[in-house]
Parts: sequence; C-alpha cells; structure tokens
Amino acid sequence: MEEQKHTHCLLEKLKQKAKEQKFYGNDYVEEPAKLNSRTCTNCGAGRAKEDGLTHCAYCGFEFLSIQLTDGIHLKKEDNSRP
Amino acid sequence: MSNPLLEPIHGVSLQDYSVVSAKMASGISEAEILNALGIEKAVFDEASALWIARMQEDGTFEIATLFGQYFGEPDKHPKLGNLKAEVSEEGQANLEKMKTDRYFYEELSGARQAAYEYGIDGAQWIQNNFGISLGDFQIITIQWLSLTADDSFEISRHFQDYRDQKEKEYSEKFAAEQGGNVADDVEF
Amino acid sequence: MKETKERFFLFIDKLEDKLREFAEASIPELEELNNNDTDEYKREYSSMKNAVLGQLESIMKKGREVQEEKITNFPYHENETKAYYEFRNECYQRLHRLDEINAIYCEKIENTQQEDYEIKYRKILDEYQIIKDQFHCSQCGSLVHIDKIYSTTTYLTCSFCNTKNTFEPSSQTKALEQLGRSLAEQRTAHLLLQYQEACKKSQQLYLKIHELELSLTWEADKNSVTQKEKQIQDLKQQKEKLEQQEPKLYQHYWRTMFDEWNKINPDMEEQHEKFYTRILNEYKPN
Repeated sequence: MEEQKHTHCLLEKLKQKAKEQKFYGNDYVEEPAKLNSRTCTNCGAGRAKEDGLTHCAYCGFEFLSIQLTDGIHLKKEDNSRP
Repeated sequence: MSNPLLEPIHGVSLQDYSVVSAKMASGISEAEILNALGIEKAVFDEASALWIARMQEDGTFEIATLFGQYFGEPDKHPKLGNLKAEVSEEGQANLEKMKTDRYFYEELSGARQAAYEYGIDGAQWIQNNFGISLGDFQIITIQWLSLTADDSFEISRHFQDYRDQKEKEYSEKFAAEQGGNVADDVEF
Repeated sequence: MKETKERFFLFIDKLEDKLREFAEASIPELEELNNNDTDEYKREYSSMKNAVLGQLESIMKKGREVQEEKITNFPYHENETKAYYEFRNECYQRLHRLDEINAIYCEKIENTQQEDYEIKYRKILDEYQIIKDQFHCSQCGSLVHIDKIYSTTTYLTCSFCNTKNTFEPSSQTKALEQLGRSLAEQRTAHLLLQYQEACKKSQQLYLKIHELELSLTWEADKNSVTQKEKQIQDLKQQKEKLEQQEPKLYQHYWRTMFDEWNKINPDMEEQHEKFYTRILNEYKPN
C-alpha cells in the first residue's frame, strides 16, 4: 500500500514537471495558406508569366540571384530570358 | 562535381542548404537568411524538399556526411557567414569556452543527457543555464566530433568517463529536485 | 558466496517489483497524456515518457552497480574459482532476466505513443476543399484557382492578367511529405509485420533443426534416428519455402508503402521511386 502511494506520488511529480516546464523554441503556430505577389522594387511592375521569374521584364531588376534548374514545380523554362 | 547528386538545386548548393539549416537552428529568421542568399521561399522550399529526397536516395551517405560538415562550419559561408543571432554576453563566453575547452563541452553534453532522462527539455535547460542555443550546441558538437575522430582509445575513454561522471552528478542533482528516484529505498 | 547470492537475488527481486509496479502504473498515465496533449509535437507527453524511461534506467543502473561491486569484485580464494564462476554466472543471469523484463516494459511504454495520421491527413484534405477557390490575384483581383494540393511554396499564374502570384501552403500542408510517409507506413504496417513474422519463423525453424541435428549425435536408437532425420527434412523444406517467400514479402511491403506515399504526395513520386530503388538494392536476404 505504502509502495503504491510512493509510485503514484512520483508519477504525479513527473507529470507536473512535464506540464509546467517551458519547452525550447517558440510555440507552434499553424500558419494558414497565403497568396500574394511581388512587384519590382525598382520600377513597380508586376511579375508576368511569359517574362520568367528571375528578372523583371521591364527593367531587368533581379528577383532571384540564381538559375532555376528542374525542380518540383519550378523548371528551367522559368528562368527569365536574357 | 563528379557526383550528380551534389549538383545545386535551383542554384542552392548543399553548403547553402546546410548553412541555412544551421543558421535557422541558431535562431535567425528564415526571411533574413533567404534575403541574404537572394532567393525566395518558393525556391528554397523546393530545394529543401529535394535535398532531403537526395539524402534518401543516396546509399553512400556522402550527402549526409557533407551536410554535417557544412553544418558545423556555418561561418565559412560567403553570404551567410556574417549572419549572427543575438547571444547574451554570458552565452557568448560559454560558447567560446565550449568550443575550446573539451572538459566543458563534455560536461554540458552529459548534463543535457541527464536533463532529458529526468523529463527536462535539455535544449531549454542549456539555454536557461548557459545561454547557448540548440543550433549552436549542435554546431559545436559536430566540430568536436570531427576534431576528435582520430583520438586514441585511451583519450576517447578518458573523456567518455569524464562525461559519464558529469552525467551522474547532474542526474543526482535532478533526482534530488524531484524528491529522489523510484528505487531509492531498495538496498542490497 | 551462498549468502551473497541469496542477498543479491533478494535485492534484484525487490528491484523487479519496483520496476513492474512503476512501469504498470505509468502506462495509463502516459496514454492519457498522449491523448490530451494538444501540442503539435506532444512535448509534454514526450518529456513525461523520457522521465519514466529514465526512472527504469535508474533501476537498471542500480542493479548494475551493485552487481559490479558485490558480484564481479567478490573476493574469492584461488581454490574456489569454479564455485565463483558458477556463483557469478547465476547472479549475472538474474540481472539479465531483469534486463529482459525492462526491455519489455520499455517497448510497452514506447507504444503509448499512438498517433492517428489519418486525422492529420484528413485536415489537409478538408483545408484544400475550403481554400481552393478562395484566393484572388493581388494585381487584378480575379480568382486564382488552386488546382491541387501544393506542399511547397510555388508561383501560380493569374489566368486573367498573367501575373505570377506566390502561393504559400499552410504549415500543416507543408508537412505533407513527411506526414505522407508516416501515414503510408501506418496503412501498410500489417505487411511489414507479415514479413517480420516470416523472418522470425524461419529463424525458429533454424534453431529447431540445429537442436535436432545436435541430438542426433548422441542418438543410439535406430528408429529415433530415422524419425528425427525425417523431421529435420520436413523442417528444412518448410524453412526453404519461407525463405523463398521472404524477399517477396519484403518487396510487397515496400512497394505498397511507396504506392500509398505516392498517392498522398504525387508531386514527389519521382523522388520516392529513387528512394524505393535504393531500399531494394540494399536488401540482403537473411
């Protein structure tokens, strides 16, 4: 009987400890889906489909400083043509 | 590059990907990092998913090994090396000590392990008591692993014993805080 | 020695009682915490589980320490070496039994971590139905239809003004790839079990054959010899049959698992297939 009380008491303490402590990192926040678009910070133009994704079609401003390869949805064809 | 699995994905090299992971673990925001790399989320999300997939595909573990190496040397990255998370003065001092003093590194590793075994979040415990983030802890661990890879058996044994001893000391401390261990009253 | 052995056995008995009682009592507590922990990573539950496993380990450590001090380092006279080895062996075996019991409880405790991935997946599917026609082009305001579930941020073109909009999936949908694997594994766990059972059974047959072959060495009775030889042959046939099945079961499990994963996240099918090829290439039959 005494034994069981001891076990129960220890388990309670462990549970309290688990519940009361702060865990590492920020609390998980579920971010909803979003849709937005980027306009050229240089000339204000929008990004249009045929013009490719890496540079602004109007003033040549660099949106992305890399070359796209064949990925999941993004493909080589999405690079802006020089 | 002889291994095609090491080719960059959308211009994101394995070094880029590893260092982004390390910097994020140190507490720097994703937006700041991607900005410094000159890429957008869409590019990074794909590169990240595909680097993970390449690791799964790679039976030689070359990618995973290189990932670890780059992760351990984030400050060598040309574009991201200078991005630093805010660290307290005390944290900075402990960080330096952990990098240079192997006994201190072994002690913190033992303490962290003991914390987990007593139901305490070891990463948070290290942050609270020594001001070192999880990311920095992992980075230094990797640095020590590569520095000590060629240690003799005696030296490894010496530091393992030291770590075990420290783990035991911290375990006793954590046990006392929770009012003892389950079998304290069982005696030979 | 006799007295030490009795005391050691009694000591381990007491540790065993403690271990059983504590582990048994912790299981319902952990199950409850697992069910009620709403944290995405179930960190409260994990901490408590670590602490419980840590306590079991503290019992084992105590056993090992006492064993080393009282048994391994037991002082004995040169002429009682044989008796000492016997004594030591029996004591070691007693602790070993405790270790086995501990392993069983550790597994039971690990198994309190149950997560129904179907629920998480269902949430992603439901979310998609709600959001697929909810977004408008940030340039011209026209509807931008989300044509499928995207698990990575991507660019979607407005069909009216051709602007590239950036679509960023929700946090839960971004986790689809990893969740997909866990769910696929959950859905096909019975096939993995089938493969593991076959391996276990052929191992048992091997041991049985081995045992019979050994017993033949001392068998004088001709009838018994014939009978045993026949039995060995039967068992060998059974074993061979099982061993032929094993690679098929193995492949069947992985193929079905990857098919499920592909269904859940078809965008990554090409990558999954490369992973599958690697797994099959690395398979070595027992």
